[in-house]
Parts: sequence; structure tokens; C-alpha cells
Amino acid sequence: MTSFAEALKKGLDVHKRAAEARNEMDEVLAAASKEVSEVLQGEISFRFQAVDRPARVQSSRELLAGVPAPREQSQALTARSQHSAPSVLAEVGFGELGYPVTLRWESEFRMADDRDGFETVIKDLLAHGATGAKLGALLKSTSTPGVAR
Amino acid sequence: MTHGTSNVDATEGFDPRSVPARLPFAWWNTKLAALKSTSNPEKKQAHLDAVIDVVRALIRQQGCLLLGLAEVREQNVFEWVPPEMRADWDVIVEPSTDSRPFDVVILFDRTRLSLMETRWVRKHHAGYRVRAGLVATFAFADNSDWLILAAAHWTSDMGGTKDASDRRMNAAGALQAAIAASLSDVGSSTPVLILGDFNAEPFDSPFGGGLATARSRAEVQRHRPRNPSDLLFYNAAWRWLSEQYRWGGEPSPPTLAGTYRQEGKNVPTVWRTFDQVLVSQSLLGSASWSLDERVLDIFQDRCVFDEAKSRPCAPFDHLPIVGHLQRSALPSDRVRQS
Repeated sequence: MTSFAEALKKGLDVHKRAAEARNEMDEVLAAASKEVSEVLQGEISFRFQAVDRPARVQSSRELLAGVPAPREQSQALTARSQHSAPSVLAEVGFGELGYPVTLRWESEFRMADDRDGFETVIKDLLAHGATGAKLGALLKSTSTPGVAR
Repeated sequence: MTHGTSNVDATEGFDPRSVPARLPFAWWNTKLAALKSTSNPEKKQAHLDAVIDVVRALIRQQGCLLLGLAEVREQNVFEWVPPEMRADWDVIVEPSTDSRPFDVVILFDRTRLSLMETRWVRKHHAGYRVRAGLVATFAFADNSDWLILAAAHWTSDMGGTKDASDRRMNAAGALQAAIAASLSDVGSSTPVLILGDFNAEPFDSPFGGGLATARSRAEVQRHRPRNPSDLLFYNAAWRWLSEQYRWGGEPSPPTLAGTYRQEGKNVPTVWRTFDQVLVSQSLLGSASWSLDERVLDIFQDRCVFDEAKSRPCAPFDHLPIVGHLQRSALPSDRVRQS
């Protein structure tokens, strides 16, 4: 029979593994931020962030009544420069143990089980045209004189 | 099963395209990947012509409005649609320039289905990437509902059994996760139709854990999800595992016991049921659309099935599967998002 102490130990272990996985992913994002900033000669940082979004599409009743769909907090991978609002690059979902982590952007759905996989997904995300457009816009807004967001 | 009679036969005066409450669909692996190792241009053209004949038979004869095809990459699939229908059709191909692109395409009649979103699902695991499948969200043109379609062609055992099995397990988990994500966008009761050549049979491990399925409709209907990812699909392909021809004592009766059979060195290999149709709980109930299992079958037209040799016609090794969704209730509350 499992004791309360054993159950607690299990919970702490799950939390520890999830935190370790998250640290690993943050390290990958920090490395990507550094490299991208060097190339673009502007400070860009990638980070996970909670964002507000519609929980689902509007129902017909909501449409007729002019009521928006309910909203929810979800995790996203964002890019931000020093004086600009963050730009959402992908929606993110974390597994109970941190991995598998899922990223959704444009017509891509990627799932990674480990650090190597996550690195590959980030590379693919950066190689995508839509990401290029968002990062370009981010830099442009940062370099526009008198515009601080 | 009576040979060749359970598919709907348009030549008998019934054209499923004329019935707005029906959505005939098909899935087929074309074996066109084999052309890469063929240097003979005549052989290549003959294979391509044979593929076009089958695709047109599925559209014209079976009235299919939605087709999933595997082992298709470089070909101009749109030209396979009968010329007189092309204005109404559209195709989903992967836009990515990935070094290992998907070889799955979807052809659909856009007067009946509007494409809302596509997701190409890849899993990154232990240094390799697995192509898990395509998840597309459609809206029925009559506003009756959404439809989530997943199409997959998983790794075969040809490159090494252990690794391939591992890849299929990973593909199964990723595909289920992607379907769950699409369901969370448009509503958990949205119909889900999964078509594929999974290179695994209905009893294999990917359908036990990664992509959870059951052979019993009742079990799927009873299923109460504990969380948004807790999905269970009815696998209608179980019925194709056994011999479809009932033996009456003939010395050399024909055989059909699956969807895949290779030519083999001396005799054809054993039948495998690699091509399958999986549906969500919502397609088994009284919701707006449901699976009509009475017309779900292996396509046995002579353009693709050689009855005398009891195998797919050369150069093919897979038989198509054909089925129908039918609208069983008045349009629901859902609307398309513009």
C-alpha cells in the first residue's frame, strides 16, 4: 500500500523533473536569443509567456448576440525586443514532466521529447517565413524613432 | 461479404454526389514512391496512368468528395481529378521545404468542404523526426458542422523493425495530441475522421496506447474523457482482418483478408490490414454527422484488384478503402469562422 509520504515523494519528483525540463528549454531559448541578437544586431529575446486568447471559436449564438467567445490563458513562445510588445511565435503546451513539449505555428504542429528535439523545433521555427516576418517587424518597430511600446 | 457489391455503385443510378447529406471519402496508398527506383520511363508512365485511373474511379464511380492519398510527392495531383470537376476541387500538399517532406495529400471538393486550418504533425524524438500525419479542420459547406480529418502514412518496417516500431509509437502519440489540440479549438464534440496507411495492424501497439482505439463501437460510445487528450476512436478496420471470401470447398478459392499484399518472390505475401478508418465518438452518435458503416469497404474494382491472382493489380500493393459520412441530424449550432 502506498503511504502518503511515498505519494508526496512522487509528486515532488514529478515537479523536479518538470522544472529541470523547463530549465533545459529556457537554456535553449537563451542560446537562440543570443545568437539571433548577434546576427540581427538588435536585442531579441525568446521566452515562454502566458498569453490571453479565445478558448474556442465563437458559437452562432455568441455571434448573433455580439458576445465574444470565452477567453483563456495559454502558454506561448514569444519574441520581444527592448522597446516593443512581445510577438507570439508559437502556441506551446507542456507535458506533465515538461516534455513532451508541443509547439504550434502556421501549419506546423511539432512535438519534442528532449533537449535535442526542442533545439530542432526552435531551428525549424526560426527557419519559417512567418517567423522571419514577425522578427523583421519587431526589429523595425524597435528601430523606428519615437516609437516605444 | 459479397465481392464488390458493398461499395456504392454509381452505375446503378445512385450518385452520392447528388445527395448533400452524404460525404463519400476514400484512402489509398498509390505506391508511387517505388518510381524513384525505376529508370524505365514507360514503366513510370504506366504506373502513373494506372494511379490516375483508380483516383478517377474513386471520384466518378464511387462519388468520393474527399480523398487521402499516400506516397505522392512530386506529382501534380490536381490533374488527377477528372477535368470536368477540377473547378470544384482543391488539394492539400505540404508547403514545407523540409528535407523529409510528407508524402500524404488530400483532394477535396471545396463546394462541399471549406478548409479552415491544416497542421503537419512531426515528432522529434531521440535525434530523429517522425512524420506523424496531417490534421486538417474543415467546415461543411452547409454549415452543419466542422470536420477534423487526420491522414497519416507511418514508417514501414523496411528500414529496421525495432526503429520503425518505435517511430510508429511516437507518431501515434503526436497525432493524438495534434487532434486533441484541434478539438480544443473547435469543440470537443467535433467529428474526427482518421484515414491512413499506418504500417501497423489494428491490434498493434500504436493503437493501444499512442492513438487509443477500440474495436467495439459501444466502448467508444461509452467513453467519458478524463481530460481533453483522453480520446478513444472506433477502428472500423477490424472487420477487414479476416478472410472476406467464405470458403465453400473450392480447391483454389480467391482470398482477400486485408488491404495490403505484395507480389512476393514466388507467391504473394500474406495480407495485412495497414489501411484503416478510425472515427471519433461523435461520428457514432446522433450528432449532425455519422459514419455509415454499411458502405464502408475495401474497393475491389478491377482497376485496382486482380481477383484471379487475389492481390492488388500490378504495380500496386495496397487496395483503397471507401466509406461515407452521412448527415443524421439538422445542422447544429456551430458556424464557420470567417
